[in-house]
Amino acid sequence: MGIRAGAEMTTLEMRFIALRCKDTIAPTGTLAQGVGARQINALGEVYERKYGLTTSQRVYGTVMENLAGRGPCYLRTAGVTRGRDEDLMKAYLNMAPGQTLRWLESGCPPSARNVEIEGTEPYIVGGHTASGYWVDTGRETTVRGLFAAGDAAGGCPQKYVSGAFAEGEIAAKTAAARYLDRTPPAPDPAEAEAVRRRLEDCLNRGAAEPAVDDLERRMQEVMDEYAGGIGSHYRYSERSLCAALEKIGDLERRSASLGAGDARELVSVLELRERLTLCKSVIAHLAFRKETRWHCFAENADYPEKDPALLRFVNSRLERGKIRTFFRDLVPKGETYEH
Amino acid sequence: MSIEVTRSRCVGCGRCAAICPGNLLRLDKEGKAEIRFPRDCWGCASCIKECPTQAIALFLGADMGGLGGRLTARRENTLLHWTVRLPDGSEKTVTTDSRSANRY
Repeated sequence: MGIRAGAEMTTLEMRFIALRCKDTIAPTGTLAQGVGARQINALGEVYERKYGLTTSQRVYGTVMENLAGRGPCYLRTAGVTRGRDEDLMKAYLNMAPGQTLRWLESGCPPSARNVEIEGTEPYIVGGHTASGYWVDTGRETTVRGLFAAGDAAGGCPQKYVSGAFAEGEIAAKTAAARYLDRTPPAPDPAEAEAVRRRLEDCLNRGAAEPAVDDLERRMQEVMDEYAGGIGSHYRYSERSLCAALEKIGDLERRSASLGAGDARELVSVLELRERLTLCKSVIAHLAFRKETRWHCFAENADYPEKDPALLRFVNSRLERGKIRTFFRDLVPKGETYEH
Repeated sequence: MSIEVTRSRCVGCGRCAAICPGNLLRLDKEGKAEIRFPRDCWGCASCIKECPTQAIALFLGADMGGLGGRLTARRENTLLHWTVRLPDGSEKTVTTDSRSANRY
């Protein structure tokens, strides 16, 4: 919605890909850092040192070992003590109980069997990413009166829950300081009527072909295959991104005639349209960064090396129906940024 | 990963519906908990920890290699007694203490 309102967005190309326990997508940090489990390939070789220990390098190493025919890959937990087994079972019950369920129902605790690992689907927005609205120090976006905090606010990765709380407070205080004495403008009646009619039209059509689930699945497939998803080992090229854009455009046109059987389906339709809008921005950002700054997170097959000149933000704005992408310099240490 | 409700155990307190971060649970016409969109459940287990009668269980679907185990939890002050019931009827219990939740 913000993109369509013309808000400046940032860093959508730096997708986050976590290294997770296979199937349960439980985090791996507690195994890697907590009990010092090393990443090994199917031959039992420790490969993490070959690629590096940042998350992006850990994922990249796993992809490369698999591609070289040395997968599946594991965290080497076999041999940890019984006491560690108990600790790990409890730790995972706290954060990802599905993994403990796996250990218990299989009868194979971490000490008995190495834990298989894999990268996740790319996450575009989340606690780890730097993507989102381009905000000033008070967390106001470039759309006046619209504020963003946490996952929604871009430019700073790994804020997580505590960072989101802090930003929420900053945004609320700024909003109060800048807007408390103003009366919000009344909604334009014609515009409100147009929105109401659009929603009613969708409900009046009822559930019909195409189903929203089908378009959603197709959208995921297109992004996976042509825009660097897990199925293409996170790799894309200018040509594949062009193909992605064309297919997302087709989906957007088809989504115009979607119907909804009830309020829940209506929400699904609206969410799908938002995601298709976001897809186009992600594709534009991926295409604009002509380098590979982070393996897997943005693995550009046309530009496999890092370019020191591109240590900058990639930002974008929707202007007259077209996405304009441009660079912004990093803010030097000790300085602040205002719009 | 999803959850399943044992209707005969559900007392209709509604705590699961109140806590579900995905708004996926509600009470049906007979006042029993039901999950409306099982595919959207990401297995956070909030409902399992809230349920006072162990009527809700977490399971790993067959499509992700699940072996049929059902995980429930019973709260006792700061303790949570987690029990996995296996298809052969056997059970295994692990107890966690919220006072040591930040140990790892």
